[in-house]
Amino acid sequence: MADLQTGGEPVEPIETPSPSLEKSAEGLMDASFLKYLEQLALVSRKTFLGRLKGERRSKKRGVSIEFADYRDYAKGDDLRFLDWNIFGRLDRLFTKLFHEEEDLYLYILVDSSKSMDTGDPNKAIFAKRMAAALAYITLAGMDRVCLIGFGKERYRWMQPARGKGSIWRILNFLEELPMDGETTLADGCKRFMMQQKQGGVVILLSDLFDPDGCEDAVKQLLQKQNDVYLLQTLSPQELNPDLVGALRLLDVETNEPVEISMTEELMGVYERRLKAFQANIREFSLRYGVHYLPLSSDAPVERLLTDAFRRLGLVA
Amino acid sequence: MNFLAPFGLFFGLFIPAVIILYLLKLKRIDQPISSTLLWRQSLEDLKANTPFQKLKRSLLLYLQLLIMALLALAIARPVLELGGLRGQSFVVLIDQSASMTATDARPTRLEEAKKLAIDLVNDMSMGDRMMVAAFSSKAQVMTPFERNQSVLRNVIQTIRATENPTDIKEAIKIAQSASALQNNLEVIIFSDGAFEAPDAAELAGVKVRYVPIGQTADNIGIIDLVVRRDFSMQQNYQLLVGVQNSGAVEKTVFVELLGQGRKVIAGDEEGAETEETLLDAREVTLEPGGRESLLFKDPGNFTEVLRVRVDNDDALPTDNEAWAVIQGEAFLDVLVVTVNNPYLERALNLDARTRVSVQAPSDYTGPGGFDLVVFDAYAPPALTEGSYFFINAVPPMPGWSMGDELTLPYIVSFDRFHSLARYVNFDTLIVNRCRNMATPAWVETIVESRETPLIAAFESDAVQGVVAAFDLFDSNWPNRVSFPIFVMNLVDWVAAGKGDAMMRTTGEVLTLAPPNSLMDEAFLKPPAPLEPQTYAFTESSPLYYDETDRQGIYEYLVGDALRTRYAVNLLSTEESKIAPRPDLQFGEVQVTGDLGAVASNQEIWRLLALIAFIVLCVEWVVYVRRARYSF
Repeated sequence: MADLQTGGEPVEPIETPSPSLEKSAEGLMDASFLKYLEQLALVSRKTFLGRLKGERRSKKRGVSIEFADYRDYAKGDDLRFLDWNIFGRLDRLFTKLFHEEEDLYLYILVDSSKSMDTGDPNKAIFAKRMAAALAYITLAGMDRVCLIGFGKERYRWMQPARGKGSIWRILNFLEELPMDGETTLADGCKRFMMQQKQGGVVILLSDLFDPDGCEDAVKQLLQKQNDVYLLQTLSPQELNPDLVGALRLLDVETNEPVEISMTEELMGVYERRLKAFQANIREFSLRYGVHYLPLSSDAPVERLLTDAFRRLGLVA
Repeated sequence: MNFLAPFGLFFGLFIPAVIILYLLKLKRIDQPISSTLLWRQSLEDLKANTPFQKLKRSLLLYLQLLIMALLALAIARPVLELGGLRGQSFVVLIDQSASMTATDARPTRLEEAKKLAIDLVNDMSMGDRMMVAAFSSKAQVMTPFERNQSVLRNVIQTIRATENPTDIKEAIKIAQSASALQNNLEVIIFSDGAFEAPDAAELAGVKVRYVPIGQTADNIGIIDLVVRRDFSMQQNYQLLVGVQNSGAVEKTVFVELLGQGRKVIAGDEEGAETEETLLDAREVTLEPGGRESLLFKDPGNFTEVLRVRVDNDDALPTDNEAWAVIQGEAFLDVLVVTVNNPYLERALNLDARTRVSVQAPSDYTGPGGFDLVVFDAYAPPALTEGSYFFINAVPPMPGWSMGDELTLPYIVSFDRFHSLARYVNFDTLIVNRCRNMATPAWVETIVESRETPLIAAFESDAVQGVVAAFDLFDSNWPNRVSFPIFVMNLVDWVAAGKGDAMMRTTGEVLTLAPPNSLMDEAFLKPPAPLEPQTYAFTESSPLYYDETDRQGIYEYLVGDALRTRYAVNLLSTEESKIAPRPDLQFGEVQVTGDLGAVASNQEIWRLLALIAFIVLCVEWVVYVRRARYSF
């Protein structure tokens, strides 16, 4: 009967297409990279309140194996947590308090302005890969990841994801995140803060080319005791411009022209300006306890994760 | 500072054009960039750090404006006046005489003079006027006062070298008459100074500058050439050649005599034309500044044209050659116009060289082709060019007349040194009757009686003649031995005069007698490179040919027959002394040669153009340094 139904031909079992890592969005990740990420664990120097039980120590007292403190017994306390040894010695009832272990919230803010979509290698792709890598590490550690893409009058929020299976959602989100519009860090951050319910690790991936500066935006992020990481992503062309001749530089976001004639002198001034720009941000970050890491889009993400981020304490 | 072409300054209008181009700015390449934030700040830094940034940025503009200004100045042809042309009107006199063909200035002195004159034309300022005249033995105005420089340049270029001697007087007269019309006139003479300068009075306040041309003095030239046929000595001809060395070193040269003519073959009267052949050559050594004379005696008997050549390679080749013409006719055609005079005919026939024809006075029309016409008791109404012997008649010329009859005039004296009286003794002459003859003062009296001249000879421009104031039959002369000798002397005299008459100096006028029939075509054939010219005679008066600017043989032909051959030579002591005179002496006034008269007006456009080029290079360097990454 079965033969008749299938027309006598052997039927190959159709495999449900599992999302191939090789095909994943814009080649953001490949299999070896994902495996490598699994070995990393996201660590945070701060502890945060969580919603669900996780693998991280919470500020809350709760049920775990890690002792925190004693307090006097009060009616209604769970008798399981009474310290009977002390009752036997002192004849007083003390309740043992344990550290609650909860999950960690990781917020990754990706600057999705048009300026990010430049450079070779492309800054946006670099930022997305970086976001994906960090997200995957977080998910592997049973923590929550929340992705936000923002630009001028644009704000995209992805519901917090948990578990390694959510990586595809994250990749999709990143893939579909359009890179368009002007850079307005302060607006995006303000909107994010209004939405953020739970503090956590906040990573801002941006070139920080905001005419209004990034100080206001970073100050916003520091609310709710967030642990803020500022990852400034610049392309090699921005770090060492290879411009020649008489040029009219057009801002990809505003289309505003700046006419320059490339000279050695101007080149020197630009380099000094870039250094000063980064030094300002570093100084500001030190003052507010923000972790600042300037990145070049041609740097390999693996190396960054192993070396620079470890040193910064972002990954363990 | 003056400008030769002030309109060139209009080129300066391009300067605003450069500024406009700068305002329009260069086309920049659009380059999209992630953010102009840092660039904007960098540019502000650049401006803030360098207060002269604006100036520095437009350095290129200033350089380009400087280039344009320099070019505009250069095009206006500024002139630094260092004593050059400062007047308003100039008369440029260019020597085109034979000595200017000397090749010590390359290619010749004349070309050098023309080049300097053109330089002078180029230096002319706006409003300057120039008159150009060329002079040799005569002067020729090439152009009246002219402002147009290109016309002047062309005119100067057309000046051709001649082989004439120099006579500056006429040119000075031209300049002088020009000075009457022009104030502030300056005369500039381009010459080697090989001429006799006129008196200072001739200059009459005209400012003269003299530009000497040439360097060397080394030259050997023929300065004298005389040919004589001498029948009595039984020689064909003699040739006397004078050679001069005007250089500073002793030289030994060969003087060659070359001949060309017809070989007379028995039975063939015309003979065969021969090639030019070397007849004789002599070696002569000349002291510095010395002269030598060479006598060539009877080198050949068939020659019509002689050429003398000094075999020396010197700066002036013109005077190394000279030509002479030997009367091709061996015979003298004599016409006797008489009723009957057998004595005369017999005496003339005694000479082997004569061919005598007799004509009655009533048949006489003119001398025709005859070399000598004897009038016996007859005088024609008018005389044309020729040689005549009047017997018992006077030439129809002013000053001559016949008076009363005299008997037995007493012979007082005779001129025994006159060529006509050679070997003749008039002591035995007895004249029964003669006429009282009045003669002009310039006549040479050969036999003189107490009352009247008996035999007289005269030579005027074209007419030579002998007059006897008595009838032969009224004397014992036909029976004396002196009569045929006298007739022979007369034939010699006529023949010698003819030989001499064919020698001319370059620049001299040739008188071309009309042909017997006006219907015949007359040609003048100048030496080789020049073209023969045809002449049409409208009346029986002679034509004058003055284009004898080249040495050589000029042949006058009527129909196909050769009528006259002229030898035209330079033969000038002055021209052969080619050493350029450092200054000119006009009587008391000395004009010092000043080669700087031409070179002193310095045009500086080349300098300006050079500076503009250097600035252009600097501009390039600045541009490249500024945009080093561009290349």
